[in-house]
Amino acid sequence: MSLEILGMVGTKEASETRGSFFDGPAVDTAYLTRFAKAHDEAGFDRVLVGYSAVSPDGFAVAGHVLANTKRLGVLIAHRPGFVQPTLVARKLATLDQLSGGGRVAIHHITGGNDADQRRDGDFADHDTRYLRTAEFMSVLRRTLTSDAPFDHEGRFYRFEGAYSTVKPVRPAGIPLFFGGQSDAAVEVGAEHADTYMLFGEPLEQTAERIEFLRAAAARHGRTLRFSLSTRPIIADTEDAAWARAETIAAETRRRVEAAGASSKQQFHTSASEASARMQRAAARQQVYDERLWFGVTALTGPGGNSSGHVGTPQQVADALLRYHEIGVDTFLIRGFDPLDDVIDWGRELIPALRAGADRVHQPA
Amino acid sequence: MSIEFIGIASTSAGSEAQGYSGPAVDPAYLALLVRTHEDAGFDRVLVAHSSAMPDGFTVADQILSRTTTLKVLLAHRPGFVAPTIAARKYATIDAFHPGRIALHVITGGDDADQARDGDISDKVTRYRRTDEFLDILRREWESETPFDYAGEFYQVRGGFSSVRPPLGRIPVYFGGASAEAVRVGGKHADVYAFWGEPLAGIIERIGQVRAAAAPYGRDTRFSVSLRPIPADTEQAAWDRAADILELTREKIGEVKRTFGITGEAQVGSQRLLRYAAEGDVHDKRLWTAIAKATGAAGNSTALVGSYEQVAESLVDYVNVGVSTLLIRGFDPVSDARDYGTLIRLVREQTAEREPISV
Repeated sequence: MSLEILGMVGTKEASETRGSFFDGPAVDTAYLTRFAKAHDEAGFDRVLVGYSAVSPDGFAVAGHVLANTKRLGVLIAHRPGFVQPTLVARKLATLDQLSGGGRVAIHHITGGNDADQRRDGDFADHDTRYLRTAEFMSVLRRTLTSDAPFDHEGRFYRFEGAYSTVKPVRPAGIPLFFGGQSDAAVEVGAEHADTYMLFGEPLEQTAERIEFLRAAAARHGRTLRFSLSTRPIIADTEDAAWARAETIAAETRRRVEAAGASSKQQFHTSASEASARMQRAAARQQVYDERLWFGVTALTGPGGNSSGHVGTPQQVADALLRYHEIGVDTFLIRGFDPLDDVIDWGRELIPALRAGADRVHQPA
Repeated sequence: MSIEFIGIASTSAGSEAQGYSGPAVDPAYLALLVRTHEDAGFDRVLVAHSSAMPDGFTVADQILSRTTTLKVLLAHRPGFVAPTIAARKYATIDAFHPGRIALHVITGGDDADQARDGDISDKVTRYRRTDEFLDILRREWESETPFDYAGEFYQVRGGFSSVRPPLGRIPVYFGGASAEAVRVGGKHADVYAFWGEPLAGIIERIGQVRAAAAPYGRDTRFSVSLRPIPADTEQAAWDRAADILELTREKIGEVKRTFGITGEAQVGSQRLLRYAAEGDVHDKRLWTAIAKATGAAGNSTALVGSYEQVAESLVDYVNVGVSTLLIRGFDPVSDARDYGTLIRLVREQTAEREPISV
């Protein structure tokens, strides 16, 4: 199976150590354009467009990315529960048609933070949300593929004569990505996801998780693709890469302390099981498998993916290829220096990953 | 003030007279259609909404990326997207294309089309929901701090958007002819949109909306939607109108299948049909035969005459208080090009004056 490399775009410069998520205009159009083009030129397949209940709208951001790149695809993060699934299906199919076909995918996140759900008016609890996600994904897929109007009556949604005149360009349609590690999440993802997203956990835990999820999917007669998210920190020498990691940790620590109990901090916390797994790993040790580093994870507390592989481009590529050998076909890589890292990775890391993936696929 | 001209965008070719065939999304056609509008002098294009059609947000974004000054009026039906998210969607598009997006609120006149996207509430309930939706939308756009809202339809806790309309606000257009519509639209609309009724009907409706808007201190503006059929001579225009009617009658089954919407439950449609029953031509040249043939499910009354005559009739609407004219034809691309003449004539005749209020 071919390797897929995902990056991530934001509408302004912001990471744990660069820019700000909160200050200044939320949309810096010129920055987003440059950022998207850099991914296109560096050889990324797709970019994730993130989601929160205070952020600019991902569909609009995705449209801008597609209009300003030639080949790059988008993976639009979406939380079920706020937009009808029939309408989301038409959004995706319309975007797919207007961008030439095959460039649009959707990532289902179910909301790890009750407070962020309530900002947009959702008061359902965690497990109920996952049941809704299952129904949402089922109706979404049906709207994208059904040749005739259909009715649906479920626990969360009821439709009469649901139909979309617009369909995806290619039969493969719109890939459905999914994230979530709680028991409730696994039940849903195993049945409905095309690609299951994993945070950057150590190799052994990832292998266990893949086996577990494959077994869950097999009960539904399905096979899953897996994606791993990591935050590479590369430099010309291994020592220089670790020194860079230390600098990143120091700046993260400074910012976390300066933010203190700032009310804005709450916008980015997560109560998800996926984040809790990362915190547990970070509490046990700081480095796994020689170069998987949890230094930032420990500092920021539960949030998005924050573990990263540290080393030379070849060392990091080799480390990621070990995940490829155990079944990871998609890598989501984003840096702490978002734009500079993308440009940098296009020179050695991405070519090394692609060349290595070809070797993995050669028969022994 | 200058008169605003709005045309209509579509992702595929077709009209009542041409039928609708081919793929639902033809990117090259959309680009041609909107660039034609921009070149002809239109200010804006409407992107419509129905429950089986391509998504309007995506289409709007595409239009704004493919034109340089043309604005978009993006129709949205409350009830299918959480209001805080809808607010961020509009604000994000506005951030990429400052001042070029406006919201057209439609509340849904057809129960079956609502049910396709999962809404089974009745019309009176829908308008109450629209009212709450617009309350929340405005707070999400404007609130400097997280806000709470507890209503009949929506509960929000800590609502907040990091992205705001860069020019301060996004204009809200509003449509609907029932008493509930007027109550809610009077409260929220910057521009209240009417279908093309005779002048007396428009005067009546402007009065209703102004009365509903007064308690809120709103200075509402008004839009009328018409389907001009101009030609070099009056006779040529009426010949063309006859051809359009004949083609429309041939295609009527197909059109109803395509949209699956009837005007049976819509007060606006019933008003047009009542005028149509009284006679085919009202005022100087307002022609209602297409409305009658199609059941008036949409904006379907025409102005038929020479360019000068049609322009004069458009100015008649300006004279009773209208400042936005939504005009679209039966042959979308070539009519949009052709309407450049009407736009020029109306602008010449209205350049130096304020609209006269009724």
